[in-house]
Amino acid sequence: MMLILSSLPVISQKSSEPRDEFTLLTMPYNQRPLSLYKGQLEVNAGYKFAVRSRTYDSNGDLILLKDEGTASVYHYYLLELKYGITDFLELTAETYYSKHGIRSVTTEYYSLSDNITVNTLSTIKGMGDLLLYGTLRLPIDFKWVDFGIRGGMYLPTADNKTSQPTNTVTNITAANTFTVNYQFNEKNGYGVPVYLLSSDLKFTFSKISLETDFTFKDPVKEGQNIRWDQSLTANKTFTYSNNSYQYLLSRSFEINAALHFQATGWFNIKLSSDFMKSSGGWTEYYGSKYKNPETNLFVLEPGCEIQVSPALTIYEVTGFPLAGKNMDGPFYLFITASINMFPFFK
Amino acid sequence: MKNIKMAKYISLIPGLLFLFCISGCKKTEYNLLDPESAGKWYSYNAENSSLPGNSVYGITKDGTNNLWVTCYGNGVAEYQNGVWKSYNLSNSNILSNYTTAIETTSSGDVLIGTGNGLSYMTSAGAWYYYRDASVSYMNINTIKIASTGAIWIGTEGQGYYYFGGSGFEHYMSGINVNAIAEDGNGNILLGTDNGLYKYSGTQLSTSSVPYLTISDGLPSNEITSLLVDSKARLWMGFYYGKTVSCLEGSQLHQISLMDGADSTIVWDIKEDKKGDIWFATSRNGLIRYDGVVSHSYKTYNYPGEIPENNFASICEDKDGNMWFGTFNSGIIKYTLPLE
Repeated sequence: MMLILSSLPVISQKSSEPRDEFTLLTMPYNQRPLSLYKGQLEVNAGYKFAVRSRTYDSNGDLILLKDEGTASVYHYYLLELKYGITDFLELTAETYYSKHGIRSVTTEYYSLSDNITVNTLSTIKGMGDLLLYGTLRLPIDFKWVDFGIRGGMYLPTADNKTSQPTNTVTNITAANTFTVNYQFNEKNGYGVPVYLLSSDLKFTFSKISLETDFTFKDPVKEGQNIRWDQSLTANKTFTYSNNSYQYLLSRSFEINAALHFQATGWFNIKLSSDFMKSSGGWTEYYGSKYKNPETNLFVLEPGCEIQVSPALTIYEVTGFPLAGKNMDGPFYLFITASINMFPFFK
Repeated sequence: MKNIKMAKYISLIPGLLFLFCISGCKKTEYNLLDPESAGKWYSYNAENSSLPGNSVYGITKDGTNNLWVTCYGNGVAEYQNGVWKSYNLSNSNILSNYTTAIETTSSGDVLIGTGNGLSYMTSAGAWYYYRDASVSYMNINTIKIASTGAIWIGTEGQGYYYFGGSGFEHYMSGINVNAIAEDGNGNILLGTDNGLYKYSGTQLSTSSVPYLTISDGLPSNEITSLLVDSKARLWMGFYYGKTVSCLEGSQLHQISLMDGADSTIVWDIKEDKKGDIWFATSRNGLIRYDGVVSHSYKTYNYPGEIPENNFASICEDKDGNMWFGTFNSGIIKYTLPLE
């Protein structure tokens, strides 16, 4: 569909509105179309801080990780580059870096002669995949309704192969009394190309706007990763071996609905709700293929947009997870600085 | 005009990417397992299934991946398509209902060790037996089919019997041979009450020198179980031991058993598909060694799932599930967890 739509002749919108850069850059949210203006370049740099203090089990019951002593924090850094090819066609490139460490409860193993303490830390960090997509919106002036579709792909640019663990043995007070510190090092990235298809609908009535979007992701093919095994030698050092395994990522869809209020020309507040669900796919465990568990998460996201200057806008979103299944539900703060300009047009 | 042309070409990129990638699509349909079934214990006994008895001393699987178990006092049973089919004195020509060990050959024959001789059922259903008339009893502890096809039978007090294709030969009379294993070089290892013996082509006798004993670092000479794992390590379990021994190359070291006590007997040792080593013990339940620490599975920490702490045998089925035979509570199936 993207191929067909993108081969349509590019026609500039006829507009009776002034098109000077200042006006376009300071267009408030309730009057802004779903894609950038022709020649507009937008660079977004975001930081999300999430507290992983709760998770949802397979029955959708809430588990407080703080009570189990396994709460953790999550850092996510986003970089996004958008460019308006025309007034209704936009291209985007996006990537991220994230870091997350999960500590498990310390476990003691006793026997007649042994006293072994085991600590486990699992880290997931690294660059994410590169997402490339195009956005196509209605070729009309935005007055009170706009509709857009997005199509693109996550390219497996990240090195997602799990790294060798970096386990250590400490506190050796006797031959059979010591502490084992497991550290498992996983990485980000899907490992395979993943399609992305999305549609977006926006209505504006005076200062109130309602925007909804639907996003669908589907992996292109099966992937392969590695799993590490470790053994402790008699002199308290670790040896490692690995086995490869196959997987098929789950499909996912996400629905977001947001109500915006343009309080002033430079300040917009919103309340959005986001529901994400994944299903399908499988993962191989030592020769057997298991279905991936179905997951879902519902989050309430109050937020705001503050236009500091024509070139700089700050977005702030807070996430409050309300329900879920087989998934973490972290509370998060997401702040994004958006720089806009028309670098090629005078 | 130039900008419009460039925009046209750029706008084709998403579509081209789409076509390129679907040409490399590879998603195959598989029979998938439910993750909810992982990490679960399932118990089969004479009360809740067609298993004929609750004392499961031996477990093996045949070439079609059906399970075969011994039920001491009740013959043997074959597990096929969710049903246990029993073979005992009342419905077959099995030598005795007091079955102690079981093995299958590559051609589908079943060898059954009993309290007084060997029963043999061919894949066609014909029964044969072997009982050494020169001895007063022939209590079989263990059966091993070597990679050459030779049959090794360990007995209680009568040493071992060897069948190489032309009749049974008897060696080491007077010795208890409790366990038999084969290493990667085709050497046969015999666990006895007098230490570990190694057969490298010459049959053993009571005057043969053991390969390993207490003087070589073993915690005990009374070896009850053996396993050569996928990493070529030789594991040895003992009678009333606190540790198990692991011979790795020329290095011998001891692994302490979780909650090991003086009365722990290691009756069987097996490796699962993850490479963890499982020990079936008397009074100390099941123990899993993951390469770093030992994990204990007993009635107190798995109430309702582990019916007793006395385990006699272990086998892994074709799907990687672990089967554990108990002394008094039938057999338990464990589907390995996903972590």
